[in-house]
Amino acid sequence: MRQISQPRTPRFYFRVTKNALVLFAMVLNGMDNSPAQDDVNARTSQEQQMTDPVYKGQMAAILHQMDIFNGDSAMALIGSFLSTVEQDETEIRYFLLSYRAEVLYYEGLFNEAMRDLDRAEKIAFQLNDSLKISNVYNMKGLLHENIQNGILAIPYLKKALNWFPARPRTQWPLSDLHHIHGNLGNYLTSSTEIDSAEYHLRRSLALATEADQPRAIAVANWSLGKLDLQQRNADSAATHFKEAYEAALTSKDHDVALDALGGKATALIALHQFKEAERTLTTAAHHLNTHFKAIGAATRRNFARDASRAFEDMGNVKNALAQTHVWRNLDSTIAARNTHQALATQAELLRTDNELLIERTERERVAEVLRIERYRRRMWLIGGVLILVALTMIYYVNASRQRNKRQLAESETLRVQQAGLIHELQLREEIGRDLHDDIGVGLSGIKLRSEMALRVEQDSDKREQLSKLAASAGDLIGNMRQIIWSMNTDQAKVEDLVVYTCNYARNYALEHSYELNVVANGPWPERSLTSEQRRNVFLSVKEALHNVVKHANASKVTLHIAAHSDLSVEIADNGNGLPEGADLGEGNGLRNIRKRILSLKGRIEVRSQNGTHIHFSIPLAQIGNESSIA
Amino acid sequence: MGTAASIKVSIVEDNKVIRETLRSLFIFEEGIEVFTVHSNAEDAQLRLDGVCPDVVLMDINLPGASGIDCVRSLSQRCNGTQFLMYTVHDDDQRVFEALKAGANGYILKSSTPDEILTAIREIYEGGSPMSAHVARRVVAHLRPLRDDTRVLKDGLSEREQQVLALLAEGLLYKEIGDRLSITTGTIKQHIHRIYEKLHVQNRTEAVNRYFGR
Repeated sequence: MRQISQPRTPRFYFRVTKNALVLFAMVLNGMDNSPAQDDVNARTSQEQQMTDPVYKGQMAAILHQMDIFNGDSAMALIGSFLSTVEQDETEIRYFLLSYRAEVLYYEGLFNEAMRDLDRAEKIAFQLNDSLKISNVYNMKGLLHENIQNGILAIPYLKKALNWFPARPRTQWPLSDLHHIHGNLGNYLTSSTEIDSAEYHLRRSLALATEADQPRAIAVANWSLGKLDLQQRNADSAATHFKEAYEAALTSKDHDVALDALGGKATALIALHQFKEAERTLTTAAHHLNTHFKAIGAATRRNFARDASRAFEDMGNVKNALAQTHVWRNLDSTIAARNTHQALATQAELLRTDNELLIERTERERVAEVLRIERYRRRMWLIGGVLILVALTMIYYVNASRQRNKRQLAESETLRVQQAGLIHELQLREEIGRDLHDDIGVGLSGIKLRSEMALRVEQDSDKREQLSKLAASAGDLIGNMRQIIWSMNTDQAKVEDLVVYTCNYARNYALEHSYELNVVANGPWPERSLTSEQRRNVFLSVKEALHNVVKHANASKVTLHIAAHSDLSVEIADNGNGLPEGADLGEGNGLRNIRKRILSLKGRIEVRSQNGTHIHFSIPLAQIGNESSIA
Repeated sequence: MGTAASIKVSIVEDNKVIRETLRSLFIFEEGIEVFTVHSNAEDAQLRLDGVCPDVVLMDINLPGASGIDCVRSLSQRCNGTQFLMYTVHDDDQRVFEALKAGANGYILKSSTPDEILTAIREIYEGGSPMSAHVARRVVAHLRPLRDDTRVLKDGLSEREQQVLALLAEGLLYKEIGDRLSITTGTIKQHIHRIYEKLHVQNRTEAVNRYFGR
């Protein structure tokens, strides 16, 4: 029973469908006598709770590719799917990693498969999902068997068994309990723990039967048959192989059926039922021919090997050589294809890894560009707002500055105007003074010369002319002095006007021999008068006194000056008074006085009763700038 | 003419007509003799060096140095000399400046020859004129110094103050004389002393200023 002495059993107790397992068996088991043990995840369809139709479609495509053992396509699909899955979508990542590990396992790339399983294990513990943990351990067990030896696989499979939940639920197919028992049973078979092996295989069979999974039933029976062959229990083995064949026929798992027939033939030979064995082999050959396309190369090779040994044992050398030939051909073909497949898968893995890296880099780049763009937009927004604020502030500052500037310019203009006015006044005063100096000196010279001449001139005509000349010059000088005085900014106070006027009146009275009573008592308002005010008031008094001398023939004159809010001046004489109707056609003097006073917005009152009484007043409040009254 | 009693008068006047008229006036006037005649301040300062007239009739407005400057320098060397300012107008700040600088009186250029001669004689005898305008300036000048002990010591007498106050009110000499029962001559002597005290005051002020008091 050499076949039995090579107990390396296939590790196809994954999830998934029978087709997948068939191909796995072919790919992985190589020369091993490894029938395609079926196992179907009972919960595959029922328990899928698809959340995303896109994911659902993609995942279905991957599973389909795996079911038809199209490793390249499955790898490509898983790779592209993984690149679009975000890092935080851990559950979907788990399934994809688990499936890729499965594909890699089919391809014989055990280290790569282990890498994915390590990642899947982390996720499974993160998710705290015992089914997913169990699934990882089941697959790791299978991998360890292939990497090292079956003994090391057993602890993993036991862990898988321990972790398997009471009520497994999963979106997509994962390892089922009968898979784990089946795998465990197979390893235990090879490690001579026969009782345990039998227990697990029977448990697997029971579970598969319970779940009504014909392929799983067939595979379990096949495994039990193998165990029986190992135990040289050919009778029981033949029965199991027979049941396996029947179950496989039911589920149309032609590969398992072929395996089962191969096993049955071996068992029958062990029982020395050569005819029956030959018949079985003929049936098998017929089955192989009928379902050639549905049976993988590995299964065919295994069958060829079994058949070759069977014919050899039966002494049918010709058939034995023919089957050996088929076996060797298939073996080298499979080996070549396996190598090619492995290389292609490795290349695909590298490519997808690379693409993944590129895609991730690209995504990161796009994300970075977006981030920068967002940042830039935010900066633009903030910058825009800041610029707007700044512009507004600049506008207001500028506007207020402009306003200030304008005000400054206005006040400066005003100041300049005032300065100009002051300067003009000073200039006027200066010019007036200079003019007066010059003309005054000239007139003084004329007057002095005339008066000097008078001292010696005897001719009366000439004397009269000289004295007239001197008088005219004197008058001119006097008038000029009065004008200069009125323009003198140094003499602008009310008191200045009062003293000047009274002094003039006194001198005039002395000159013209009448009695003058001056009533002009302070205190006087500390207030400046305009030169117009001073000139017009003074000249009005002068005019009035002149009238007194000229027309009134008075002996007594009263000059009364008072100042409060108004400057009030009264000139009263004891003379003739005004002639009848003089009110209408006032003499030149009186008209001039009226004109002067009205020009100062003042009031004038003229009465003729026991002499002439002139009373005028001018407002002070309007003109003065400092209104305090001392 | 030329007697010991003659008042020696110097003329400083830039107007040739007036200068020559005055010269002829004084030449023909008994009791007055022309000491020197100058057409500018510099000439007067140069020639009145070591020799001093009794009265200087001084124009204020001169080319070059002013009559005020001339008075200030000449009054230092000529103690007894009276300076009579000859001015177009008596309400000029410059008249008061001249009085502070050492002048003893002033007379308007519009004055008649008789008035000029009278003024020269009066000032020579210690009498000075004072217009209301000048009086008010003097009052204004002395007012802020009233509390100063030195000023009080050198200050005006009661009568001088009365005269000054009435002049400042615009009263005439005659009216003041009537009120104070004194003659016009006495008034003018009071005024003369007021001017002298103004000079002292002015010099004290200068010294005080010099010592930073």
